[in-house]
Amino acid sequence: MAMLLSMIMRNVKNDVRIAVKTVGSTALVMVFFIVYGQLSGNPGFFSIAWTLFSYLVPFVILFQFPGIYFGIALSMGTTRRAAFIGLQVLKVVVAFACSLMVALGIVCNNLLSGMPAASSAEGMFTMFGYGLLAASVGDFMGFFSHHVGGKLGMVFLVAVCTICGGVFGGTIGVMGTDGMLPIIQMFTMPLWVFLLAVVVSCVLSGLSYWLFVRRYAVR
Amino acid sequence: MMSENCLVCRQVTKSYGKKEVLKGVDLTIEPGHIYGLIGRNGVGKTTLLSILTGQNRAGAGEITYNGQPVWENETALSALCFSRELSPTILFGQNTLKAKEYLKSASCFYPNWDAAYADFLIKEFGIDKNKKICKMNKGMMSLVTITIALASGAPITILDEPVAGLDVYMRDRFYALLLEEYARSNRTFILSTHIIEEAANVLEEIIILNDGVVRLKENTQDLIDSCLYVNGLDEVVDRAVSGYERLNTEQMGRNKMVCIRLKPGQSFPTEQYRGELTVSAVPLQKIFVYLTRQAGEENGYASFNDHA
Repeated sequence: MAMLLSMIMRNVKNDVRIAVKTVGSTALVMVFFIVYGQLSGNPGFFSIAWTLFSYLVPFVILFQFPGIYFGIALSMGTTRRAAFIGLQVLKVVVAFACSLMVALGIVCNNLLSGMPAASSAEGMFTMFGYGLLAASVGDFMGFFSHHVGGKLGMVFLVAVCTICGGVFGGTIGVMGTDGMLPIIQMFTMPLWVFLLAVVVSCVLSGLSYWLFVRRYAVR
Repeated sequence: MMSENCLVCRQVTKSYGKKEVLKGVDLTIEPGHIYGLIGRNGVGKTTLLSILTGQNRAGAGEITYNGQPVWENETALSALCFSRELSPTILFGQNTLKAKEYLKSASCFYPNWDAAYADFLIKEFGIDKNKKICKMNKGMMSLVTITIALASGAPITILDEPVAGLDVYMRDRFYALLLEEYARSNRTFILSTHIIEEAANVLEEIIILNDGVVRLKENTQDLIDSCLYVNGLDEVVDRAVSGYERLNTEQMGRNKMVCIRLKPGQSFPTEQYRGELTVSAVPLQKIFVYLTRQAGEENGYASFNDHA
């Protein structure tokens, strides 16, 4: 057990190192699209779509990286279960980090607008759940595209991100700038449904990921 | 009695589709030696090595380290390092990872990683850590692989064709560094290589993989000492080599050269045939060629003239 825990920690350390490395570049992508979306005036369908696309892509890119690095980790002596558990830990860590970012954003926004500083526990919790959902979808898609392989796998990945971004963004575009709230409310009302969806999706994506991983052969 | 820390492979088989690559491999790797694993292209060397280190699953059979199964065993895998060839392509296209990312991952995963030694090797080999793998030539990729293997500190370290793409100077440097590390740490090394003559001075034991099984596992010097070329007039040669195992026969006119292999305890009466026969040592590479001949190759290589 001690060796398993030690190996899981080595995987988490390696995955966090990779994730931090990609955060900078993905953050730049997010900032670009957010600024573009805001500067383009009254947000229309495409500007919001691209804004939301920018939120989705980092999650997917972030979580397929361990999929890319999975073979390298295996070739360096980790076990499949330690690598798998390490990745699930990383998902929770990143989802938690996202929820903290939301809280920070809300506090900053309230401070700048002169309102009393307040954090939204519900918003944080929702963002945490959304983060886990996106990560679960992300790592399943990442590994599935790996299984498909090659340029076709990359095309599949980009296509899914574009469609999801377009659907979410298009919805927001129709509803206007406050369109984010109904989306978040969709996930928070009722809360138990949202939580159940998060748990079920995490379990299903984790299970399907494990089914890919358990007999993975390094080539 | 088997020593501790042995890597044991029992009746391992592996097939890819209908093609059976490994057909019941039995092998014991004892600690504190440098082994050479040699075999023809496609015989299953890399497959065997990846199965030994839990990176690929065997069809049947068992692999144990220190008596414990290797598959998905954190304790066993922490003692093994299989440093394999880097690929210029990965997943969606070119491998744009940098050498330093491989080295950082290695430092995460190998519990005995020697960072100071890795830095020394990087300087020694002139590796640019910020260079992308897809931009490296084959030799440079091999040097990254060698650095990871030597600095891993793993009790059993396996290198798959480590000198592929290296120039003569770097190959010589690698062998010197390997011996230096071996003397320093007494780790076990397994080298899979095609450049047999050069490696012969480094390898303590030779393992020949052929036809899906271990054809031979023997001390290198004993193997070389057990084989002789006997050269002279054909009737004299035939008389002299009767009763010995013949590995190869070459004849040009009345001159015949036969390679014989002595059984344990056997010797060849060189003095008896002084003046009639020339007896000489056989290069290890030639021994390998003779021992791994396929059916139909007993009379030497096919010639285009035979088909004309």
